[in-house]
Amino acid sequence: MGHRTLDFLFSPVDPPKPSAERKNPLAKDSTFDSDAVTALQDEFGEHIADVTLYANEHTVYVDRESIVDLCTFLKDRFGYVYLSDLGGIDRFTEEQRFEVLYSLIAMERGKRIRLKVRLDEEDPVVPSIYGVYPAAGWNERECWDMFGIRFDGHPDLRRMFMPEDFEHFPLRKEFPSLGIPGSLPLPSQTDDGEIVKDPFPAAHGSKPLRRTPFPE
Amino acid sequence: MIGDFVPILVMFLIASGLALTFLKLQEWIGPKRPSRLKASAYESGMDPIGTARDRYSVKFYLVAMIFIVFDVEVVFMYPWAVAFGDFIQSGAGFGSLVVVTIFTVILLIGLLYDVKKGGLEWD
Amino acid sequence: MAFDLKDGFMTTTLDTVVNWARSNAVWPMPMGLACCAIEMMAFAGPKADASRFGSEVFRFSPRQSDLMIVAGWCSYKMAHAIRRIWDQMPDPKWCIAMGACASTGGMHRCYGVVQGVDNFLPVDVYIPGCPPRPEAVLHALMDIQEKIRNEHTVAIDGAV
Repeated sequence: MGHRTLDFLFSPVDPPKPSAERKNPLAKDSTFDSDAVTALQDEFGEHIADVTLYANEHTVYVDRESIVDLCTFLKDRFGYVYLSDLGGIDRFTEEQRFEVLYSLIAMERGKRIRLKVRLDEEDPVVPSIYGVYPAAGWNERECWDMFGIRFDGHPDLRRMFMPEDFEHFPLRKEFPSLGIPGSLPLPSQTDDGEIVKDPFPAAHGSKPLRRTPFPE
Repeated sequence: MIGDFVPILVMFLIASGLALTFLKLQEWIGPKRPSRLKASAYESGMDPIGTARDRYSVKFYLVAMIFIVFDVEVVFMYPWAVAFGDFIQSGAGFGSLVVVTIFTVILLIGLLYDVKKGGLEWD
Repeated sequence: MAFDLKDGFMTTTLDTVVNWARSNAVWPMPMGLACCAIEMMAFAGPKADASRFGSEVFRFSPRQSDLMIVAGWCSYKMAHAIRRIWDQMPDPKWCIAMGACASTGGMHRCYGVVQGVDNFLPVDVYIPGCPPRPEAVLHALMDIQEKIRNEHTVAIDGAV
């Protein structure tokens, strides 16, 4: 008839299949780039912690010191000119709590690769790849705002969504989803005849934005 | 003849009476709860930036003044134009034409001066 | 006025007339923040017609309106702007919280969204729905009209 029957890939009552048999039928062959991964391992072998492959997608776990060199290498040699995504992940583990995820696309060749940098909770600092991909500017700001991961060398690291004097990092797992009562000011319920000064002047445009990085 | 204008007077009285009635009713029935916030300047809910009184170009003023002068000239010529037919019939047509030509020439000299001085330049 | 008109025949007659006039000319100020704004546009459109109830013009200026329809979820940042605009509306004024998000925060149960605009606005009518049908908004408008006719009096305005 032309349409497939409903195809359950995994059912909760089944025991997990051995990894050799776990093939994802939605995996694409076209974005698979083993040449780049082999070249990376040759060039940066000691800085790469791990390379995993699932559903025909490579994920390269890198040390944070060499992420800029890696990105430059990929951009110059393999044509990965497009930074598709940059974001933070809170794994909520004791060791290496945070991850920064980079998704790169080689536009001409049509290949994708994923890089991850693992960070400890005590020292969540990573060099900024703003020099390689200027598009990383706002994504790194968002990562700082939501997780508290600092980016060394970012020209303008300040909060993206929350007001500038907000004291918490909302996407960390210990931040309650409804927020901390009182952390964001609400307007008053009466017009007492007092012109209340705008509590978000920088966001509303009536005050210039702070151009220096957020102090520690 | 004054009786021809009584309807206009009546219409004027009704219009102004209605407007005054509405104003007085508003003042009498309307709520009175002034507050500073209610009277504050509206800028889409934010604090106003800058002043509303900006400088603007002088060319608007110049064009308005010149328009008024020449519009008044035209207004003076309307009664003459209406009465011109009677002037011709009573034989003083040429004389009245000379008078209005002198009037127009005086103002034309003024217009030439204005054009020379660049008063009608828009840019 | 020189004499006390609080409960007399004059006040109630005056109330009837004034409230009839006010309820049949409720000019909304649309505060369309999100998807409910589209249903509010439908409410103003020809099929579910708001102007047959007197809401002929949707005045986007607070000074020329007497009903604020908050349509959509309100973030903490936007709340201050909305409150300021509410304060700049002249009395008498009413407020409709349209949709689940304006009434209680709706599906956005998170730190950035105010859980109901009644945390900072005196809401008169709430409309449930996500989004509510334009007919539901019409029903709310008719509720506001009833509220004006039944509960509003010239005496509480401080006028007479």
